[in-house]
Amino acid sequence: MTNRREFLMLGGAAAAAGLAGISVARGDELLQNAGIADTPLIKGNKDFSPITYKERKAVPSACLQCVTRCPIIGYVEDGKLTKISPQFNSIRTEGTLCAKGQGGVNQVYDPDRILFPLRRVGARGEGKWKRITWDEALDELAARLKKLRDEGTPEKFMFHYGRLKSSGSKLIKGLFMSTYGSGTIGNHTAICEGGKWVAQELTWGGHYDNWDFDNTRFVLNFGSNVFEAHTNHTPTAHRLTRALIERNVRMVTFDVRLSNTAAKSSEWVPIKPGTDIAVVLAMCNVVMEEGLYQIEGKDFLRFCRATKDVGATTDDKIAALNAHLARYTPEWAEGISGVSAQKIRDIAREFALGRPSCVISYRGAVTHAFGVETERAVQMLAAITGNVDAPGTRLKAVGPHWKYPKGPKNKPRSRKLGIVNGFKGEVALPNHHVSHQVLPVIKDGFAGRPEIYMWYTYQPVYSNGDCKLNMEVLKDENLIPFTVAISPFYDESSSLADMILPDATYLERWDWEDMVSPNQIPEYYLRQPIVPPMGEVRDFGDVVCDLAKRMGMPLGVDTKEEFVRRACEMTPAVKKAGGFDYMKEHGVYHDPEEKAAFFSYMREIPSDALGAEGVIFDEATQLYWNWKKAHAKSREAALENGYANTKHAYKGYVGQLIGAKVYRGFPPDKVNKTGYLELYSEIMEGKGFNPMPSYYPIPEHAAMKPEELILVTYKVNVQSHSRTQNCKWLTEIYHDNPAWINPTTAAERGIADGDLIKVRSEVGEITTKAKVTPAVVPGTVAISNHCGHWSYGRYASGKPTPADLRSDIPDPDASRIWWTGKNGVHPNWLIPLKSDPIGGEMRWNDAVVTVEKVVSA
Amino acid sequence: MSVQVSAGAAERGHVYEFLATVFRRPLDARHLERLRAPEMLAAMSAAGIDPGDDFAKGDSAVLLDRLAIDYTQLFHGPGEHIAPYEGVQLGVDDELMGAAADEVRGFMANVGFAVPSESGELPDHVSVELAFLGALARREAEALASGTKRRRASRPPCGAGS
Repeated sequence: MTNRREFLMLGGAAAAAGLAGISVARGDELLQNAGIADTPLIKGNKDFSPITYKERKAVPSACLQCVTRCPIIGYVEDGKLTKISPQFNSIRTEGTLCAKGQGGVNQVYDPDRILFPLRRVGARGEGKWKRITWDEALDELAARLKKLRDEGTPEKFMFHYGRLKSSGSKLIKGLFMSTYGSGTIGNHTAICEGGKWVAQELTWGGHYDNWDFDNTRFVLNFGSNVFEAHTNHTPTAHRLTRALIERNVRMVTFDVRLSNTAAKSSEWVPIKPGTDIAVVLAMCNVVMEEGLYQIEGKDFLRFCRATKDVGATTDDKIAALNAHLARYTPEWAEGISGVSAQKIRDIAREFALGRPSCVISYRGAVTHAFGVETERAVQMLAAITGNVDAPGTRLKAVGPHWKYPKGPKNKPRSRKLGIVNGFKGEVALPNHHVSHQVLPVIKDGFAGRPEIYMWYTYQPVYSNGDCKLNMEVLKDENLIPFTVAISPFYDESSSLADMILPDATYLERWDWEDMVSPNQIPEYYLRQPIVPPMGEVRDFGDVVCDLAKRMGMPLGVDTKEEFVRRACEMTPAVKKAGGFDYMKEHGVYHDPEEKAAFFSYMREIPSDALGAEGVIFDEATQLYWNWKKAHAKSREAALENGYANTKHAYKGYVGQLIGAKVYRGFPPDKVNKTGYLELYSEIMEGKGFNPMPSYYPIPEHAAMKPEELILVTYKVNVQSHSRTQNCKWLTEIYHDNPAWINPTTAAERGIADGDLIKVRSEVGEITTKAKVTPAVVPGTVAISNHCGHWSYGRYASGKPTPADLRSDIPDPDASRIWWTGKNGVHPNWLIPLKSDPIGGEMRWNDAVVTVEKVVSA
Repeated sequence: MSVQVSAGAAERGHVYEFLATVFRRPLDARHLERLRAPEMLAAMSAAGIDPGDDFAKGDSAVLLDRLAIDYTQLFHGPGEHIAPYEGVQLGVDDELMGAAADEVRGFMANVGFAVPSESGELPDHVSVELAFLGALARREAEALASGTKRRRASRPPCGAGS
């Protein structure tokens, strides 16, 4: 063991050695020999009070500021959560955590949070409330729910959730709702990434793509702000940083805006909004035209479907791809996207030749009309260059598989209102619903209306487009007789509830977690209360157990903690590690023997699996499927109707016959596609679209007048879309969002930097400041999300604090909010509720607006 | 040590505890019934508190409802209201469980009181502080009555009752 004096001296010696030209490795060796390895230094997972030096209590848990759900450590001092740090034992984050995660402390101690159940008095939205007890709240709610159920109309209870994952989802959405018997369940995927998911389901099956930045040599980015706001943010962003910095990996970003991601890329390629697909298809054209597919793509085409005939040869597939892509030349794409044909050719070549290459994409590219086609085209580019599910490429996602209690055996057959998939004929494949249209559909009434509308960790008013319409519907007691908000906060939506049940924040509750691992090795992790719930708040997972008992339909678990504990004992890997106690102590677990999962499609299906009971061969698609697991009526009916025409046949998929072998291939999900990666989709063909990824102009953009602009939105690194603005540390950093406008576009309108401008659309108008900058393409105005709250507490809204209202005593607290009056604007007032006609994604980046100067700076 | 002084401390304690009860949460039927008992009304009157005829004689269900609405508006808002937490209301803290709560908790701990962690109460909630003052006054009264300057008083957890 070395002492401190020796340690310092050795450090000096090492520095001198470095100056003398000794290699780092030799320096390391000298230090190791000198005993530095014995120095008892600990890297992370401990924390000490800077005042008393007393060690703080470390509680392993999981973040939920965004969907990434990073493992964290909460540090508690004298019963108070003082700090949130990364979990250094996590293989997903590798000891990293973003600002949002660290700002989570503010969620618990938000001075404006709701700590007690509230019942509306007076008119809905009037702002008059009565604090009630949990018994009063749950007795009333149980009576209302029971009445609907007893009348045979449980579907008139709608549960609509925003952030609900893992154990919370299984217990609340799964167990509780199915035991009750209502399938009228809304989600928020259409305002998130539904279009991307549908495209992936049409191509390689189960949604979600992981990006292997640890092994890639080239990253091609279409519209992902991956350094700031990815759905697997820090786990991927820090790996990408490492790739760029340590291995000089090149990254090219196509974006309307010079985002921080674009700025940190090797190259930013400005592009007109909604035209990424033209560039991607043109790159596919280059790959085929120049024979670049022959490097790796040709072999991979064995596992792709590119023609109607599932038994086509690779040459047939190449011919079909050539025929389809011939029209999409780089010159054609230049005319649409504004990106030069030469640039498209250069980057296509770099992508194909620089492999392994990773093509990534997100909302910038996908949240448009026909955005599904953009993602399908991206999948095509990855496939024809062989950059799929191999190290360094775009990968099939890997996450842990938890087992959990399923509740009562005899559940009722759920009934549901047809109000979650948009208007009739609006969306061809609403695999993940059309959540932004729920309130307009309720207003229309063609599919009935819920009598009880409950939302959970969701902001139907603020988070969707056309806020005005959302408010009108939610406020109308004739349209929805009873509304319930499950929320820790008094926000734009809960203010329109009839009852508010104060939810525990994610730092005060139990969950098991299951987000995707960037390194292809599943990580099991746990969320546990870092501090007890404040006031009378209760985790809604506990509340549904209570509610169910009051309705005489016990769920088989009494608390969320019990649900999580039993899951730990039921999940083999976790049980083997030590179960619930292990997870409470360590927070994370992965099998050290587990190998990273690549090439999952190449796994051969053993013959005994093909001979299992219920498994049949489908001639038309050349695949094996289990008609029993697909719940087909009978073997005969399954054979007669075939795989493609049997409802939910994909649930019984076993394997795809390719050549003489049966492979796992790309298992379908949500739709009855084959086990190939489908570049040719009969499902799309059946819906009246081109079976291969194709360009369709965005109607509103095609009809734009010269004075009109396209509004695009974006996220920044310290805020989630709508659930972090109450965090003072984060909102102090980011609270204002002037509209970015290109100097050329601004000059045409006589607008100078800092001028007050009015932005108008077909559904609303806002007034904001202009930020004149070449960091956004001409013809566009870019306004970030996050800002412009008119409720949600003092930090988000800038509304006065209780102490502000006193004139006799100075308020040091209020003076710390130096950004009062600068809370920015909310672009959603301007964005009409329109859907991608294929996948139902909310078209966040298609709105057409006019911009005019109001007042000079 | 006069009986009168001791009674004064006890009376102060009663007032604190009375206020702690009415500020802790909206009154329930049990509390209302006890507060409307003739003896209690007389005591309030003697202390200069006039809750009015409505309180004394009104329909209890209607009254409970009105009181709960008033309580909510007064302490929870939304809009103009009084935050029931010292730190937040006085603008000392910009969060719950801030420096004022720490100070109150430390002060109470120093004289042997604590808020049970499972109660969900915050140390600087007005009702907790009043209950604490009530308990101190009660101890003062007991000490004065027994003639001892220092005694080991029973230390019930503050805010755990009612």
